[in-house]
Amino acid sequence: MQIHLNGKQVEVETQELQGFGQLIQKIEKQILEPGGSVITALHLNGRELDAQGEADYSTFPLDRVESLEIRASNKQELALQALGDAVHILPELSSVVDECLKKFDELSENAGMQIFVTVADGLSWLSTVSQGAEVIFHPKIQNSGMENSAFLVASRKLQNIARELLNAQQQSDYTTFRDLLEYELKPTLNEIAEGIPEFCQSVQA
Amino acid sequence: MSDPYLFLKEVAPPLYQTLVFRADKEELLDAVEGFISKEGKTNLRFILGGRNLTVHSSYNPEKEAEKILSRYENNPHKLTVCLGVGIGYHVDAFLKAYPDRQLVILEPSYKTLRQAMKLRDFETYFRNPRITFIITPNPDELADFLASQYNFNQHSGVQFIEPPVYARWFNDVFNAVKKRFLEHLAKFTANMATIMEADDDFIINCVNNVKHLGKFPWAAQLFGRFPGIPAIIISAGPSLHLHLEKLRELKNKAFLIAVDTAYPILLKNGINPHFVCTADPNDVNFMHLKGLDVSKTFLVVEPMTWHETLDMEGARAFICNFNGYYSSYFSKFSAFPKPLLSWGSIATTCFDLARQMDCGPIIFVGQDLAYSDMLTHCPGSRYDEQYYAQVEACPNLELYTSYETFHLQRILARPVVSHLDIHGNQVLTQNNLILYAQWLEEQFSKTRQPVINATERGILRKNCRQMSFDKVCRDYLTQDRNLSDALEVIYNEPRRFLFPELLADVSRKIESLGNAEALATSRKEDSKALLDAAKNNSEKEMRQMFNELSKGIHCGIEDPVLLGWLEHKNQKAEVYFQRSLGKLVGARFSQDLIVKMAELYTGYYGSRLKSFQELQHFLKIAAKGCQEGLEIQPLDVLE
Repeated sequence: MQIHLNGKQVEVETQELQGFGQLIQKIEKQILEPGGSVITALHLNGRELDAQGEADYSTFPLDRVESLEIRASNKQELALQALGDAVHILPELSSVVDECLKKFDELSENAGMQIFVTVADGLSWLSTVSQGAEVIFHPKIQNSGMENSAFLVASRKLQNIARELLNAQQQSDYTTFRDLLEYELKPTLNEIAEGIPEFCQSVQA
Repeated sequence: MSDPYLFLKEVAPPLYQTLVFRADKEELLDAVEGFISKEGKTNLRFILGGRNLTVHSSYNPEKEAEKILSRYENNPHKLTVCLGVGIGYHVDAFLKAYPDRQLVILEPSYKTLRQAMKLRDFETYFRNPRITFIITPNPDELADFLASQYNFNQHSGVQFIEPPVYARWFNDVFNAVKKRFLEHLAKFTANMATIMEADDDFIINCVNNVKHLGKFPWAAQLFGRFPGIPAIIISAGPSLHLHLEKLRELKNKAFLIAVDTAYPILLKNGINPHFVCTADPNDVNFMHLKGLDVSKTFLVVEPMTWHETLDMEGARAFICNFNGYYSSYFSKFSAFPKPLLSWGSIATTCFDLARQMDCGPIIFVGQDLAYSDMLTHCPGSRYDEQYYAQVEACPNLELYTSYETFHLQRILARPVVSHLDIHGNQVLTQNNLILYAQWLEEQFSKTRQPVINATERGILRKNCRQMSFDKVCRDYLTQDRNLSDALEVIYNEPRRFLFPELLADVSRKIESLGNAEALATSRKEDSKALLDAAKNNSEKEMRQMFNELSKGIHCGIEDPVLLGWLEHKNQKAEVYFQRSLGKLVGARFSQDLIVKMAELYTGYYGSRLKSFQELQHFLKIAAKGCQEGLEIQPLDVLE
């Protein structure tokens, strides 16, 4: 069995391990976590596994593992990379919100709600990124007194807006739903986009 | 605001009562809440089936109103209808943008209006003469009122301002309103066509009845002459048979005023009413009187009533005036032109006759305005004779049909609706019958005399006492009076109809129409000649020729009565001409345009020419009627 981590061969003792799942756990615990890294890609016997694939292969016998290629990155680097992506994605998300508003203005609420599915996906991703960044950079945030930075304040607001949007949607209260999109979500997305560079700069300092 | 509804007491008392006392009964919404948003904006929230629905934007309702208005069609020729008022942000935006335009506001929810009026001042809306409020959760009523606001001559359609929350949550109501309104419009258009087509019926009856206008006294001579004498309005509703036996004994105790449909039923039962009112301009309803002995009653007849009515042998009549298009002219020559009301059903005229005679109480029987017992009319009407004639012609018909089926088929010939009757039960009826009931109920509220509905069935419920006919007889119809003799005295009063003046005026009109006919003939020829002239004349000369043609399209007629008749009689051509000409406005002056306009003017003057000729013909009949009235021979000059 040949194991490569970011292209370099590594040796792992596999005698007591019961399957592929335990092998990955051991690599994470012993090699990656001490360096603050996480797995970003897995290739088992030349085949790429996503998270579900990884779970499916957890009992795969180790004697059948011919090759394992792992790509890993540093969590902080990942978070910064995601925030960098957000800066580009947020204006696009904002323009989808505009499309959604347009449908509501045309009294095509159903079409508006269909478009909102895309916005909801974007918000879910953004929420993961912002919450992840807050967790990953928690010590730095505390040390540098950035708890109330524009990015973090706006990100926390986003959670409330998402809750209110969900509530309005469940009530079929489209007036409030539309209001939230135009007067809460859009400005908040803007605030987040504007706050990201300052936040990234501070946590990298 | 101490009492935000107080001003309604003055401008709309029934609405005040409804908002203060009955709004909670409305079922359209569970509740309506008012609130001030965190942005400081006044807003409403509908509570409906556990949902909370915000009516206006809580952040920028003014901007939202602008957006609502941007979807509005904005055609100055169409009637603008706002579907829902809420707090009125969109109404304010409309009034700001179009301060001179008429606006009809349909608000289906009393609860909403009641709550909204607590939050903002609505008085300016209610006092604005350009705004008409229609407030009721009943889509039929909304549509009917909307139809009453629509002016066929003024509006070329309807355009809507729709706040989204109303458009979504009152969609069913507004769709029903739109559907019924369109039906109204179609009916109205059909009525217009009927009037255009039946136009000659009205004038033919009028001019043929001229000879009778001085032969009989006028109904207005009865007005105010019988204070406190009971009157019974006898309609031919299905329940009439319940009261026939009692009616037979009442001729000396109350005036019996019957609709024409009820007359054959009454005669069969040995009842001769004092009056029979009849007004239809065609021979369809004449079947109720045709061939019957009318000498023992007084017919109440309008000049436009089917002209054979007054020619019936032994007919004795009082002439009345509905202020109709043609008959109002002839009525001016009577000393007693005061009009009687007529609103769709002849029973409305019977009622107004009793009211203006000062009779009281006014008692209704047979006024079901519904299909009680699944019958269209009381058994024994002339409609039944149609059934028996069918059975007689084809005896086997009885094997697969019945009297009840005959009525059922007649009921189902038109759309039926369910309605609450006087006992709180559902009964089948028709929308037009409901409208008659509503009209009568409204009139009852304006009537000084007590009104009693003794029909014991049907849908006539409001503003009158419900009483069994037995009790009415015991409580009110106890005193014997010589009513027939009193009527004879009035009937024999000297006739005062100004035949000489009418004849002179009719002669002037005939002469004026003759002159107009000559001018219209020449203008029609001029219009045709334009086609040839186009080849040889400059654009400027052609424009001048068209300008000449467009001047004096009335061909010298200045008599306002004749102009009104012409407009009425010729309206099909007028509408076509005006619309066609309107379409050409702004078009480039070309050979093609000249041809189109020349054809239009030729057709227009041709239609006017025909109207001038026909009116002369009709007025000559009127002139002969005058001469018969005067018992003189026709004048040669009129032939």
